[in-house]
Amino acid sequence: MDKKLLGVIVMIFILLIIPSNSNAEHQLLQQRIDNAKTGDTIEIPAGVYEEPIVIHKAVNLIGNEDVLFHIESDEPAITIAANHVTLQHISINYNSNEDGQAAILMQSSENKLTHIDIDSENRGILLDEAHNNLLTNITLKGNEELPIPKRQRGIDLWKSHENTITYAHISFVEDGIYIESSSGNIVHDNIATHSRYGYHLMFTKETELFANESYENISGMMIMGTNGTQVYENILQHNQKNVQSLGLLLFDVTNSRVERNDIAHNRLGIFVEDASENEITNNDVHNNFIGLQFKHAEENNIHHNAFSANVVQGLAEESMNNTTNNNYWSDHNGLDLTGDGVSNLAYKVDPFYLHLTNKYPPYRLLFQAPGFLFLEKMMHTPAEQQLIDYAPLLVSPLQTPEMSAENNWATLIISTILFISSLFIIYLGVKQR
Amino acid sequence: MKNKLFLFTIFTALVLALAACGGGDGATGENEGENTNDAATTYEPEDIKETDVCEVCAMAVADNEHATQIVLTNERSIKFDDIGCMYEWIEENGEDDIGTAFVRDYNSEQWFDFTEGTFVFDETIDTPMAYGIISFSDANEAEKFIEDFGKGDMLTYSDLANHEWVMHKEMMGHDHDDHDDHDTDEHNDEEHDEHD
Repeated sequence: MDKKLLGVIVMIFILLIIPSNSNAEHQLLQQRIDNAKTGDTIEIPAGVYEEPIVIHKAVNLIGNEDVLFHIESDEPAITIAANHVTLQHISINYNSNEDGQAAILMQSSENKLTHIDIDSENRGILLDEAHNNLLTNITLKGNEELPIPKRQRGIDLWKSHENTITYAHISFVEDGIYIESSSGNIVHDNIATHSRYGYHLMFTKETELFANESYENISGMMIMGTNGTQVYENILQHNQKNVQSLGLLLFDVTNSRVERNDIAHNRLGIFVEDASENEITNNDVHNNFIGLQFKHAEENNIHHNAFSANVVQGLAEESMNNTTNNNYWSDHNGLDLTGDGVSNLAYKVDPFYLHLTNKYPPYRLLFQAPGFLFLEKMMHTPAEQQLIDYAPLLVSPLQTPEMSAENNWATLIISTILFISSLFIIYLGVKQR
Repeated sequence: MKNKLFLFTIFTALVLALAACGGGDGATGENEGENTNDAATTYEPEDIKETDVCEVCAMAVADNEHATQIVLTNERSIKFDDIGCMYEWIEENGEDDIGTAFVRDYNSEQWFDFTEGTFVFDETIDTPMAYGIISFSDANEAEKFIEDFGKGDMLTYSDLANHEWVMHKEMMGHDHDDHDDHDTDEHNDEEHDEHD
């Protein structure tokens, strides 16, 4: 009985002591930051911290897996106001009533955030006029229960230049990585899932996006109003939550390079709208509903891409002077008279279906209906409004010799098996007689 | 032989039915086109759904004060995420098929007729596609906004025809050397939050 009483007293004591302890720890932490000298390293003791902190000195704050900032406040959980700050190995659980507030607000330059784990209903990390920072190994998760319009951005850059964001894993937010009015940022090897847009650029200059992945978002990458963007080796797949879901959108984009991306299982693979002078090459666009769509796109150079197994390989609308030769179209019945691997018959995509369904959406039900194809042939569309590849490739440019050798072997083995089994069946049949 | 005849009859019937549908739509369109001059025809705005995307820029249309829509004479509604996108659509497609164009009041977010609005423009007003124009059903509210915001031009519907519709991508000509002055720049967080 005495032991039980003692147990209860100890429990009450612990419950009373924990909050005050965490508060004391916090005050100590803020005090330690305030008292630190430039360049000092502060090890954050394990524990739960419940008050926001402000870093206004160039210090290194090092946590560990048992450091948790559990912050419910109108202020950001951590504000980085000084340059040359390092923050690593901490977890943040953040909730704010202040709309648009971020778990980490960075207003300074040359900082390094690494191994940060954020769970936030609000914005994750906001770089507000912050430059030359490195954000790496960030895990960021929004609230899965919230509908997308109520969610906020994961990593948000506003007028922030030459930052690097890498190895971030972002899910259940509005836009995974959003960059606006910024230049020279590098975003690579990140994964964004279950959000509105995986990666969203607005009015940026010379942004580099490579080796990123985007799955199960409404759209993979939305690149809008940008100049000099480089998009390469990204994987944009299974973005089809919405009837207008896209793998990659280039809207009002100039001088960009889009290369070697794997764009598959989206509603629309690549949508090029109001865009000009872009180089789109060596992309693997497959298993989308529509592979490539142009709208008011001019003077883009699209070559050596592979378009395979898309329900509609391509569509063009009021687009002129685009070079679309030397692509591989899996549904093209080509004829190679010269043996150079290039078909002598052109591959044409007629915009008739798109025009008609834009005006009368119910006609979508008649997609690929024989009557529709007949009408398409009857209603002649001017050549400049069609997407035409005058020299389609007969073999995918993305298929390496090893791959084709492997394919040949596989075909040989399967046909041999089929041949032997058919001989066996015939033999059995004959024997029974 | 009988079967073939039967199939042919069905096929012909289907083709005729399809043609009739198409013709029907066209005819309705024409009738409704005439109705634009008929004051009795009213068009109702639709609610913004999570799946709506802007007809011009392909972005998701947020259910906020910046959303706009055109209800066409065939009663199909097309939506836009920014007044600028809607204006671009009208410039390109003309006004013949428009039943009513709707914008939302900046404060109440209520739909009203685009042609009856008062507008405020300033390139620092953040709108989804950075056109910098917001709409008010009441001119006094627009005036009050300019007063509170500290700047902005008030425009009537007819002024919009002379307005230069451009997206204000302020960083496109950004010079990398001016990083150091960022501390002195005044930044309006509230404005930034509105960006979509």
